[in-house]
Amino acid sequence: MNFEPYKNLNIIITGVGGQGNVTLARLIGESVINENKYITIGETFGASQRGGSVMSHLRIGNSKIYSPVIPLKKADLIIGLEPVETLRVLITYGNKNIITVSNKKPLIPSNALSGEIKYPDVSVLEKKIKSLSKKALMDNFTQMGINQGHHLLSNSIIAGVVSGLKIIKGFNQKSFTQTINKYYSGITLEKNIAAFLKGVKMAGI
Amino acid sequence: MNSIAEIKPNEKRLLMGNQAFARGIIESGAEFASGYPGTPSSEIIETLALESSKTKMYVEWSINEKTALETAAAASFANQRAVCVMKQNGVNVASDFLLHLSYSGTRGGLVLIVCDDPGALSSVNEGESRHFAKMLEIPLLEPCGFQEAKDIVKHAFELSEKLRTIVMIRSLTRLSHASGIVEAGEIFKKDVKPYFHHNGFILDPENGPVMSTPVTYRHQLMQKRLEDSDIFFEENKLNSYLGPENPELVIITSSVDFLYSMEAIEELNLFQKVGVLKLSSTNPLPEKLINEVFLKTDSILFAEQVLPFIEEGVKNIYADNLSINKKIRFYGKKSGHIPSAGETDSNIIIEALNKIFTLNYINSDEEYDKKAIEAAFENLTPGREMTFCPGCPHRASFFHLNNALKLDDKDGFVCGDIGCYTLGMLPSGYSVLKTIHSMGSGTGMASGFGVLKNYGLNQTVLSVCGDSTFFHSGITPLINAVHNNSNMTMVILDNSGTAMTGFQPHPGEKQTALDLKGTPLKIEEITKACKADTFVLDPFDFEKCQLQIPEIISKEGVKVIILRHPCALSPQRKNKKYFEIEIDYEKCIGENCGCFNFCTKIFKCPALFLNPSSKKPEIDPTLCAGCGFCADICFHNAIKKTEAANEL
Repeated sequence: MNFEPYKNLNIIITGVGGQGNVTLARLIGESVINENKYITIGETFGASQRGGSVMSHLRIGNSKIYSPVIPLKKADLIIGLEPVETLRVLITYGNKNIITVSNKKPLIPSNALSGEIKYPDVSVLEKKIKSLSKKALMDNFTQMGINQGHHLLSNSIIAGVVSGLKIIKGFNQKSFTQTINKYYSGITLEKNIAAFLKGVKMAGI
Repeated sequence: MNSIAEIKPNEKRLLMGNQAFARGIIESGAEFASGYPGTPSSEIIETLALESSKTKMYVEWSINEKTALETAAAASFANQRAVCVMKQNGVNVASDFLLHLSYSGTRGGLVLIVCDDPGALSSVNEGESRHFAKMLEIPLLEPCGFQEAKDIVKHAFELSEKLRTIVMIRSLTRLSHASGIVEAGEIFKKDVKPYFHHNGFILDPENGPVMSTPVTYRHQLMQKRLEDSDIFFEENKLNSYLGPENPELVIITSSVDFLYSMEAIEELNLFQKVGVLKLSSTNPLPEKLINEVFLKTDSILFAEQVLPFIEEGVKNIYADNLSINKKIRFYGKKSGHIPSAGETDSNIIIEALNKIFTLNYINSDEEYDKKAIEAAFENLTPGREMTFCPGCPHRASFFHLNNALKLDDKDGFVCGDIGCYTLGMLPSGYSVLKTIHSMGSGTGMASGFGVLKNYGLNQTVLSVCGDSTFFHSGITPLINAVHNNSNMTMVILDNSGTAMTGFQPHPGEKQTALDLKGTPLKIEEITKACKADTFVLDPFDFEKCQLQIPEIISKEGVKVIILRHPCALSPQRKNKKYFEIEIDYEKCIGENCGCFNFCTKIFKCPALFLNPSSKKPEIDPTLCAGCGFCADICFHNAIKKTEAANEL
């Protein structure tokens, strides 16, 4: 898939509070600031840490971007950190050209923990997500993160996958490393870069 | 790291709206900043505090918004540039002082930044602050983007100093909490030594005393200032018309709605037919420009959040315009094209234009929509009920309160307000919270319910408030309850900081916005001085709480229980576990236990889940914060806690 330089990109990063959604949006945004004239991020994180759904709208491009909020049905790429959240966003923001990268690891809402509602079967979710995406790349990134040293490394793996898909202009190992270098150092930095590279490799499969 | 103060002039950065405001404040050379935390406004003062060693700005987290504005006004009277920041509810708190300040006028530039939250994304109301500017007769600016958020601060300070009045800037969640590219400007520094001149004649604006009297005289001055600000807006071109010479329709809009309007026009390809009057100053409205729009077009659509503020103002100007003799169609809140409740976005404006121009716009293809709608009806996307975080002391506190009220068996209830503990109204707080209003109002309510005892109300009355809320507005109602011999228990959920908004310090701590030299005031010393029977407990001390709380709440008079434990996300607890938790599956017999899966179904910690196949609970190690409370509540001691090593 090649980047279409004339086209602005609408990306939605979705998940549950505490999953690092806002950080991931900033990380991608800051990484591509030199390659893109316009970048906006719209965040809803008021209730983020309390188990609610959280979305970041990331808009990147070289022709004018107006608002930080993506209109309904107008997303080009969904980065889902949790499968139900991915599907929720696909239903409202999806279209036939949408590309999806999604974690398969569920985060069970408290009303499902208590048995009031049922959390859907992950394989059913996966099927549905794929049927609503032009291309969908799904895996248990949380488990992969744990294997790399920490469950939250899943986000750097996902960032790597997105970079490997070559959809976002200027989002590559160099720009990712430069940005993450501002936030982390030492072993944490190394682990994040290793996780990113693992993701890049996955996208190539 | 990314220092906001150290961005070089002309350098472009991806900044959050609130960081852009902070940069604007720094560029304006402000010497003083104060505020009270509240989403979506908190990052402005936070950023200024972070940069204070470089800017030498005095930055303060005040006890509440009214005091914050009073301190900032004092700095202004001492000829300093000062800014005060709050969310929309804060203006309600500060409004008493603000009403006097608008009369008395200011000296050093004084800017009030208010962040509204349409749709109540992180509030318990979507109140409008714009009407305060109208009521108080002060200039109001509304930046229409990220660059403008930074740039408008400079205008606000200049206007404030020129007219000697406080100037209000209104932001919105979608600007304050969104990010865009901002080009930095030069930092201005005028270095004025603070001094309050007060010995001059009473009407001398530079050297006299500062007060709201003589009232009529000062009121007239205030209204003259507002007229003059219209001239300032025009000179600085804060408002502009964009679009064709004779459009079929003009959208009059401001703030993020300008961005949504542009998005809608582009999406519908209406650039040839629709123009936009972009307003960055909305009190007073720019009459001249608006009258010009009346000549350009026959149709006007108002795009603004929540209430018809601009809409009503423009209609007033139309009614006053005697030279215009054509009928203009107005579309907006009154016509039903834009809702007056909830958040407005580009979808709503697209829909309004679609209706007005009868465009038959459809935003995606039928086949995909059909699939998406099917998926929506297959129960695959259950809603997420909000819940306390794993390891949250509030979950334990509400567990104790619920038990105590059940044991007490008098149909007791808890009155509360806004904070993380508002979730006490939901199952994760056992739904014990029955009233929720403004900060501190739970205790005021409890004071009122509690005096009704002598008139036959025999229910047990509790209130909850957080530690920061206690200082903000919890002390006054407590004193009221004590003085009037009410019967109630005030429960202070002390989690060591203003947790919900990001751990801003409060007067109970040594930490201030600037350093560790604050004088901490102990909550229990204050409540004891208020003559309330005071008890301090740790909500994670299961046995003590279970024994003592029922006893305390059944006593006569006004009692205070301080349930003290730091928030699970606080810097001192984050990523640290007290315990490793394990389930002993020999002891846990799951559904056969008779506990009805108490730990997963009733206690509902997100780190504990019921394995649907084994019907037994499991711990999610990626979520568990290791508080150990679940081990205390298991009837069969099947949940084991062992002290954690805390290696990171």
